[in-house]
Amino acid sequence: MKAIYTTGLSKAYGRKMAVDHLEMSVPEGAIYGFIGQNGAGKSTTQKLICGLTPSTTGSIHLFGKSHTNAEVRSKVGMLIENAGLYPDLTAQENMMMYGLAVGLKDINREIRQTLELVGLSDTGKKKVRHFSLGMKQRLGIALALLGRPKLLILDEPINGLDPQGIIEFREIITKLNQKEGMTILISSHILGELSKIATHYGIINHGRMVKELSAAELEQTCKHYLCVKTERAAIAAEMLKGSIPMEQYELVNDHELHLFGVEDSQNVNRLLFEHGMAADEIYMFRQDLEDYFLNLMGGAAHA
Amino acid sequence: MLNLLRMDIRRLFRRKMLYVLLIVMSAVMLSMLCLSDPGNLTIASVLGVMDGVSMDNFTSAASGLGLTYTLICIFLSFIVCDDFSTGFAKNIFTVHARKRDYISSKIICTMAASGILMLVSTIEAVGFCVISGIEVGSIGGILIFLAEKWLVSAAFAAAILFISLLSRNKGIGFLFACLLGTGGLVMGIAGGLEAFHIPFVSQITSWTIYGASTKATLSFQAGNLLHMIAATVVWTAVYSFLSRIVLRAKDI
Repeated sequence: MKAIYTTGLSKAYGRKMAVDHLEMSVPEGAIYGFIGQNGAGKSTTQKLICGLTPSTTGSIHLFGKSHTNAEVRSKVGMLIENAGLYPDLTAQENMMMYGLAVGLKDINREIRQTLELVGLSDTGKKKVRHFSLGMKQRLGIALALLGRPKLLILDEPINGLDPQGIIEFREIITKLNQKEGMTILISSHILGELSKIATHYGIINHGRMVKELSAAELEQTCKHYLCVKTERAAIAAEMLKGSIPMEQYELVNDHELHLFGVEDSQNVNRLLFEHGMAADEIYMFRQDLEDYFLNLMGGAAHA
Repeated sequence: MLNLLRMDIRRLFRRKMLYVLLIVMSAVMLSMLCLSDPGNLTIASVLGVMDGVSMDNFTSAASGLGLTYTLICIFLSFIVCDDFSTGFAKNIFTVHARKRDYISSKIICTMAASGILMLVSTIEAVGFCVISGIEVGSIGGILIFLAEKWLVSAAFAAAILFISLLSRNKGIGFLFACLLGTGGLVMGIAGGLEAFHIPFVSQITSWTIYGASTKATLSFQAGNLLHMIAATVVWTAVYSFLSRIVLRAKDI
């Protein structure tokens, strides 16, 4: 079953389409990395899914039911834009308010466990207005986790977290996904971090879904090649093509050559030397999510 | 809806606002009574019993139980604006798809606050009368007056909830709380209509929320009670419906 399924989903602000006929499909149990440039429509899409903004056209289904269904929505947790917290209350009191709104049964135990999980169990009577950005973000994550929702929607959740906090967050998300089967939709600009946990990706641009793929598909799609920098790249390419097995090669310019399906750099170096060519540089280039995203966006874009 | 109500009721008692309003209400009421000549006061004037919409009643509307309407409107407006300005509304509406739950919870919570304020206000008014030697009259009559006034607070809550959801601005909420609670808005409109010699102005204004609230008296009158119930139900339903439209149309 799909945890999230949208068809023809659009949201217009005046004449501008923030989300434009978006087709999105998030499998149940996935950690779905939602990627896009600033203003691509990530937050708006997440708000639409949470029912926080009305759609112009299209439909959203969560676990097979309309997203307006009260039962299915009671199983959604979210952190979108900033953590929604009452500044004049403590972390415990904010959690209590949300716990009551959600209708938790063993509310004190749940609050204690969740605050411990995010490392905020010892904030005592400190009011949220005196919290650092990172602490507020942790509390926002704790609120989203309270009641163990089936679907967790997080918008830039690691903003403001320190390196230790980012590692802890990654561990929490992985644990919730693997042990409790929680479906998690995360948007983040830190693609390196996202690629460590995501099982699926959706890439959005100008409100439209450009590409959806699984982590395994991304691994297959990403090109790894041996980059060879030498004086006479064209001659080297012809020589190497006849000497070693390779999938294909790409002559980037007179001095740079990319060999696909070749990993033995020592052998390439030896062959070049034997044929009287000196290699300035030989290294293995592994394309990652960031490179894939930049390629898809058509150049030096920022996620 | 009950889950949200539990949250709102907890918030009502855990935050300082209710206690601040109790102090403000007591201070305003007692200072106005102390500045008045006890010889000219009756239990009706102390409690703020009115006889319809007119500028003569403006002082009564701003004292006694009439003051409570203004205070509960300010209270609700600030709470709703806080929900949206802090972003906590996002948490609420993510897990509560039914917008009516939020509306109902806020109206009931405000009625609880209204009940507390009115009860304290009535006790203070009766206490003042006893100390000042003013005849208190029938306790049953006072309770009927209290219940009738409390009933109409649902419509006041629904009206200010709509304005707060629409504007999401404490300043505007405060302004409308004063205009609605004191009847300033209705009296202004009534004055305008009278200036143009439009007939049946008093009959028309008696069906406004403020107008209906002035129907409460110290004796049981079935006609007045039905009038208040009808006006309260209709206005509460209308403003709740409008609030739902606003919640559906605007981003949260």
